[in-house]
Amino acid sequence: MIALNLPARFEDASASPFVTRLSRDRVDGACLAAEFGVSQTYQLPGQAFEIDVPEGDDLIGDVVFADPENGRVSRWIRATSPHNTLLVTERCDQLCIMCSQPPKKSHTDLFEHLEAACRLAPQNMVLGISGGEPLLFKDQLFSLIERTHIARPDLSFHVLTNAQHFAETDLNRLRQPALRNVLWGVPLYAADTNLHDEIVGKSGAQDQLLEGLAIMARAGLAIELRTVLLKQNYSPLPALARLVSARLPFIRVWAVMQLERAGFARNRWHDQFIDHSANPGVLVEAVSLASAAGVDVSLYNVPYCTVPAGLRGFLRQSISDWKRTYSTDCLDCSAKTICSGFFEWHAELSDYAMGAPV
Amino acid sequence: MTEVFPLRFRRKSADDILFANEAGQTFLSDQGFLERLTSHALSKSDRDFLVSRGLASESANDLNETAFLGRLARRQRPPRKLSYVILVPTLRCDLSCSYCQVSRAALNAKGFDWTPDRLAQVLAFLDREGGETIQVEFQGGEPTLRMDLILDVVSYCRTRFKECRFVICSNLSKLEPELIELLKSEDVHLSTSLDGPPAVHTRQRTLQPDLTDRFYANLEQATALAPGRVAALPTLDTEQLPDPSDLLDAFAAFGMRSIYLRQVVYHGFARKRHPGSRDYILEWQHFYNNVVEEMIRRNAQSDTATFDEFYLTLALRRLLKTGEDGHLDLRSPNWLGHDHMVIDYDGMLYPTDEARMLARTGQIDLSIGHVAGGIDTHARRALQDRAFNALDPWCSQCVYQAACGSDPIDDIARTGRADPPRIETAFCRRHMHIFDLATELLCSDRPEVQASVAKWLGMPGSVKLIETHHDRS
Amino acid sequence: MRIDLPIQPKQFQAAQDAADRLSVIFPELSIVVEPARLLLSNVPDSMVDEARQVAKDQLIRSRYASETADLRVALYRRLLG
Repeated sequence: MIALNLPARFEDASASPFVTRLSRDRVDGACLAAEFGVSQTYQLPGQAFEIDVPEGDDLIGDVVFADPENGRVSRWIRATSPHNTLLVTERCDQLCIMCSQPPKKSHTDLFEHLEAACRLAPQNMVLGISGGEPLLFKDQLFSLIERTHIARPDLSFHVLTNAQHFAETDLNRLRQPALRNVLWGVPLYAADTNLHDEIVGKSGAQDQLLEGLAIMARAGLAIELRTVLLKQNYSPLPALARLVSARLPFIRVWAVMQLERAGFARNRWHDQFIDHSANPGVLVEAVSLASAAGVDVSLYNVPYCTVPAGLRGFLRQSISDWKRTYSTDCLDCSAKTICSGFFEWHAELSDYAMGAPV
Repeated sequence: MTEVFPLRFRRKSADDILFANEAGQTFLSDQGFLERLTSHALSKSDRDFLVSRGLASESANDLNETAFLGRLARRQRPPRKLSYVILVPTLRCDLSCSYCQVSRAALNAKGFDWTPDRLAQVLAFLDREGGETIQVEFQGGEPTLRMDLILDVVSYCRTRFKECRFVICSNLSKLEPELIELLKSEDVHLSTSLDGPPAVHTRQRTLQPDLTDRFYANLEQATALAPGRVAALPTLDTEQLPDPSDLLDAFAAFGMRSIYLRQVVYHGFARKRHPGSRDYILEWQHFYNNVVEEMIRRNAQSDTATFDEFYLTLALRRLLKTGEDGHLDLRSPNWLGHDHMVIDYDGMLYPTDEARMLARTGQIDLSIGHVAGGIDTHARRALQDRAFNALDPWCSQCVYQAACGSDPIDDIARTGRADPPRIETAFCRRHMHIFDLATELLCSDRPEVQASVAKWLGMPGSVKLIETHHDRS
Repeated sequence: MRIDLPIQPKQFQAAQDAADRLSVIFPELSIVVEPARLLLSNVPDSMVDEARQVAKDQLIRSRYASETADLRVALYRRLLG
């Protein structure tokens, strides 16, 4: 488990929150002034703060959001991680039954700080944007991406959105280079309208989603269609594969992923988790249909040992480093280097009937 | 209002009709549907099917229309930079194959090889016209008679291009040390002719059984040196076709299971000795189907060794996916003389190998420049009129149009005309046959057929890939 | 043998297109368009069923192609627009 929020003691505890980069010797940003054991003290003009470095971790180079009033430093962009996600809001207009980041009604406008953080990000980084639903603040989000693109054209974004909020009037803006330089992650859970709407907890969601996808396609956006495997949508997965092949040929990739044991899914695990290894034919059929039609299919969070040989070529390792750990059962497995492992909040190997070291 | 993207149809039997639109989306239905479609009286079940499969739109700019137009756009390919070149460093050859498509020159003849100046011009041409990657195919005559020229081209290309692939087309009557050495590199492939069982191969190519034995020994040595990088193509005489099983055995003996079934082509020396090859005939089609059926039968019995027919697999991919446009014959528009070029022993440029042969046999000059002076863009432009099959009056009503292509040069070679009605061309008949077979296989309920199709397409499992719609009212 | 296929007056042009194509498909037959029908003559008995089906299908095809021509143009315009 990687610690993102660290308690911190601030010299000026009444100051407003700010974004800064932790460094050893740079003049700009927060410079490491003292080290004692695990404790590090960083200094900037008019401020200083002390934090304890988590074991085995390194804070140098991180872009952090410092909150003096609440005595907290949040590591928004970790320098040692290839993929960091910025949460732009906790509000959402859907309520997915397996949501890993259950929504809240409150919203704190952090866009100014988020933009500052983007400017400080390491070279060529891919920045995740998530929430809640980021496009509830569409104009502010687009502006953040556009301004960042001008200041830091080396950066790119991976935005997770339910695609409920795109309009025809967005087309011209979406076609500009800044928003074209984004990978848009959009979830679709089932071909059946009612089933998808039930899973996301919003009536009319699928209709709206398909309209949104049409606008995104017309704008030439790069779309990563995402489907989480659930008890509720597993058997009709081939029907979804047919829909994707027939009606969404323009997507960049179809990412099919196993369930994370986080958020709502944690307490509803046995109602939601589906052991694909006990009935692999369904997954094989869906992947066969889509790949034959030329759809690029990727399987995430699916351990190597749980799929038949024909599906191994579709397995992908997660880009998040904290999403790749292994169960103790995997100690002796020879496939560890190519296996995706488990998402941090994982199923156990024993969740899978066919799971066993290779 | 539901607008169906215009459909073409082909009747398979009294009540089985194949439908497809010009973006290539294909399905099977029946006479009733055809009548309802063409009398604008679709049922609700028809409309539900069409909308759910992206075959009709319900409002302007909706998802289905957007997807259809995107698909249509991706089926058209723009001209690209030179990435595939056939080089003929020498016209001399040590064999006299009965169907030889080229006027070969005798082993000791003079004036049929590249001079040093010519080589320099060729390399300058590749540098000027090439992009980032190149595939170079050496043909002739017998190109290995000039290993020095081959090695010069190979070493130049490896410095100039990010990615290279070299294919040496050789009769393998000899396996010289320099060729052996070159074959050790991963970017070098070998292509040769294997016409089937020894008797057939001897009759058509070597004329002497001990030369055939030597060829077999060389082929074995080559496959050991370059595993996975040696391909053999059969050239088949319709008048004396081998038994399908014997043919597959002959290839399997060398570990080769991917076979490109080619009929003797109507060119050069072939025309004199194989008069029946002018048109694509039923006998050939039956033979082809029997070979494929035999492949399916063998594939069902073995999980590891999969037989496939190269062109059929290509046709399957073209039917199912957009963007599969690597093969010259199966792409539209088929821009001639852009990404694909032939450079002859005398430096003349041709858009295809067939065009080179047509000039060789004195039929018609389709050259498009010279390697010294560059591409004659005017001559090249004149070739493009039939490149776009969507505009052809016959193709625009054909159910296979989106997947098919065109070969204007073949049309000229066989009919002597630049613009025969498309359905009269051998190209059309050949492709109609291949696509009929491909769609039949894709519609098949036979498990062994589905299993082979899955292997050919690299699918993890078998699924019937063309759906059937029957009215559910 | 003769094959006689009735046509509607408004389908005359499509029938003409069908007749042109059928002449290429069946060069040995005589194919004529009259105001109310499409006529195939000199049809060998062995070919009658096949020729009738092909002719009917071609009539449908030619008619459908002319009826959907505007839609095709509109779609291509949207594609290129």
